[in-house]
Amino acid sequence: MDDHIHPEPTSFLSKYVFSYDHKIIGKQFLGLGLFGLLVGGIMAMVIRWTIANPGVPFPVLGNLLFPDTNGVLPSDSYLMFVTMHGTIMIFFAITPILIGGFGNFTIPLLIGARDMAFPTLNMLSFWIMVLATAIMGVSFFVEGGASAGGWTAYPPLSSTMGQPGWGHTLWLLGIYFAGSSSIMGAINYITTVIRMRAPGMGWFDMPLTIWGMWLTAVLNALFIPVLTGGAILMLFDRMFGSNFYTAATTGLRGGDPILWQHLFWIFGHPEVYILILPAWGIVSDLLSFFARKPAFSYRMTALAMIAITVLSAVVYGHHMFTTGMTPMLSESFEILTMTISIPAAILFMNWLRTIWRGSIRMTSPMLFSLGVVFVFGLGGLTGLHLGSIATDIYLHDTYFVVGHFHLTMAAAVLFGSFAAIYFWFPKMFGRMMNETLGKLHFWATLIPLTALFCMMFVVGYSGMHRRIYNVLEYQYLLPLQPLNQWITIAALAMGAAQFLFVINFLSSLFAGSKATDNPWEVGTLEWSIPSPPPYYNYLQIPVVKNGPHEFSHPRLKTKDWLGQAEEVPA
Amino acid sequence: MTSAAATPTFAREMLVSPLTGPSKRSEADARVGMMIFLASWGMVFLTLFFASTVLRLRAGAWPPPDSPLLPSATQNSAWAITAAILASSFALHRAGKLARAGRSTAARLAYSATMLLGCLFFVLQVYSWVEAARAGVELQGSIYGGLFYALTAFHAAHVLAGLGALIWALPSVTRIADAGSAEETLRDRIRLSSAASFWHFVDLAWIATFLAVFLV
Repeated sequence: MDDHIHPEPTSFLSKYVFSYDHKIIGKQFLGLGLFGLLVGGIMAMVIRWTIANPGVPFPVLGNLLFPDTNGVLPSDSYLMFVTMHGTIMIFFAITPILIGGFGNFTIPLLIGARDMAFPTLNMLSFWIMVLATAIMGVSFFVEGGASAGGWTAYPPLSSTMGQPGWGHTLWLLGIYFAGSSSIMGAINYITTVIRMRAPGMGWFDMPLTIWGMWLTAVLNALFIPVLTGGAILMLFDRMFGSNFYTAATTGLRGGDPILWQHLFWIFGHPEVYILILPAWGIVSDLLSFFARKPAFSYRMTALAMIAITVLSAVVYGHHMFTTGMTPMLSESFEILTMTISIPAAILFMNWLRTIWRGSIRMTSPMLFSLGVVFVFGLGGLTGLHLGSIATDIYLHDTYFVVGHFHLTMAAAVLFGSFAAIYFWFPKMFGRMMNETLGKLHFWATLIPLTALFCMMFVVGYSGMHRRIYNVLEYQYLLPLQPLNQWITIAALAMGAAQFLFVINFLSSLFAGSKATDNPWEVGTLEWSIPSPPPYYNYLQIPVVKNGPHEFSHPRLKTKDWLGQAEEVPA
Repeated sequence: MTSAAATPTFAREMLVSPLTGPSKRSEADARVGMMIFLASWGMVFLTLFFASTVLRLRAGAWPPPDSPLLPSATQNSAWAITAAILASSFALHRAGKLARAGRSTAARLAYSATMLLGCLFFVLQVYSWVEAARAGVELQGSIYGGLFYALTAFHAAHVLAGLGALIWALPSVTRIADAGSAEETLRDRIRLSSAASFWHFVDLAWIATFLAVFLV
């Protein structure tokens, strides 16, 4: 539609609230996601505090959050906190920051387009996400509180028996709307990348960020609907009394709780790649930008990401090894899961080869990119133990799993988000973030984060189940309690370190030094226009002549980078 | 929505540029977007069919021996609504062709026939639920009844959405038929083709639902 050329908005409402502009919508998503990160992060702190100090009131916020129990998180709210921490972090923090926020902001800018293919749909996508967030928020205040069925919502825990009241029903509606928002975004991203790349930009001339975003959008479009379908059946169960997910008490009429696990993980496994692919794409670009070298084997990196995308759709059974599926099936899933390590290793080696002997500039975005490589390495290698049936049977539902998925899809994605924020902040807001604070933030996050999740491996390997409220009630866990307390100390330290980011973000927003058009000296298209870009992005659509990582071209004399739309000097 | 005063000249140039063929371009954009949407939304239907298959395989005997069965009235109306929705898709296809050929009255007639057949579909669907309920097929407590109601109700919701889309594109039919050139009805053609794609999708989804619930 001709919508993608829109007139300049004039009123406050059309400029900042109901905006068609992908850059504004990206910032709106970023704000929403950072808010989700704050709420989900505070919940994580409460959870950790409760494990380390059962029965001790949570400091400062405790009396505000739990007035009835003098500031102690009660046992019936514990699982609610675990559930909502996971739900908020996945659907309302990571998704809006990386996919909604940076997906929107980067796609048109990096491919040289003036806006998304369907700006109206884009705006709708954001406001439906706001609705979903509101529904999740409201669910805390209904009778019985928010859902406590785990973020995976396994029945019968999530049935009306396990979760009476409106909490879990609202959870399903919230997920439904959040999913719809993601599908709308995906339609936009896929179409925009297919149809609106600047002239001269072939598929393999796109920045790897765009590859990550596009593949994520493809997975979103195909697999979010599976969760939607599963959620619709669960809504039928909860609201109209059908029993698709509950076994019958009499006769042959009953449904099957394991069915939900199939549907959930057919969605759920691609979902973890939905979350990590944008971060991988961003890191693949940033490592090259700050090592001042072309990305090593760009084409293989892109192909590896494609291979991982395809494989991610056929490995979901490894989440269900303990459900008693036929060994033939579980062994197939095991082999397919192990196959993913091939493209993942290619990706990883290409990152290392990209920075190998580069003239590395240790800026904050670079530090966070290296952080992604490090924590994803830790998380990826421990994934092998969970992909293997023999070890997974023992490790299933222990803290080993918690440590693993936090390193991969929480820590790596969080670092990817921070890398993206520090990197594109000048383009988004026209001001630089403070480098010293940024580096401090990195180290103050990395050290406790690594310590806390690695200690979780030890606790999990020792047999601690992942959803225990009061560790002291289990004789066999008592020797682990000091370790649990150390994990909590590390978690609180990491939480405290985020104030450095908040201070840096807010002070730079209003008082940061003015950013030049191209402060990082890189060649992708968005750095060839002013910071922040005008509402139409490109006055003239650029014609792309180079790849995204043209560094140290031998014919360049005065600088070491070449813009994508620049001619190579004779 | 693009007012001449607020739009930079390049934007207006792009809209009318003979070189890039902007009308074709945005029509193709819309088609690509619609295809992605339908592929994506088709996955919801596939999920429900997958769930239905798993539940039926787990049930051992199908239909379960202790469940009341769907009455013949429901079965028959399922055949009737299959015919109705197939006819509606055909009529819609004709309506589009007639509109593009400039035959306004015939196009509107065919388009109205599509919507009427859609309404007929919905009425017959409600009738088939009433008959099933009277025969004792229940949503509660039995996956046999549960799958019947859930699959058909989910589809029926799409029929309503499809009717909404047809109403949304209704004025476009006349405008396309009455317009002199293809250029000036760009928006209308996008609107009509999007609504039509969705309606054909609802038709296809019914065939699959019909197979899953009544034939297999």
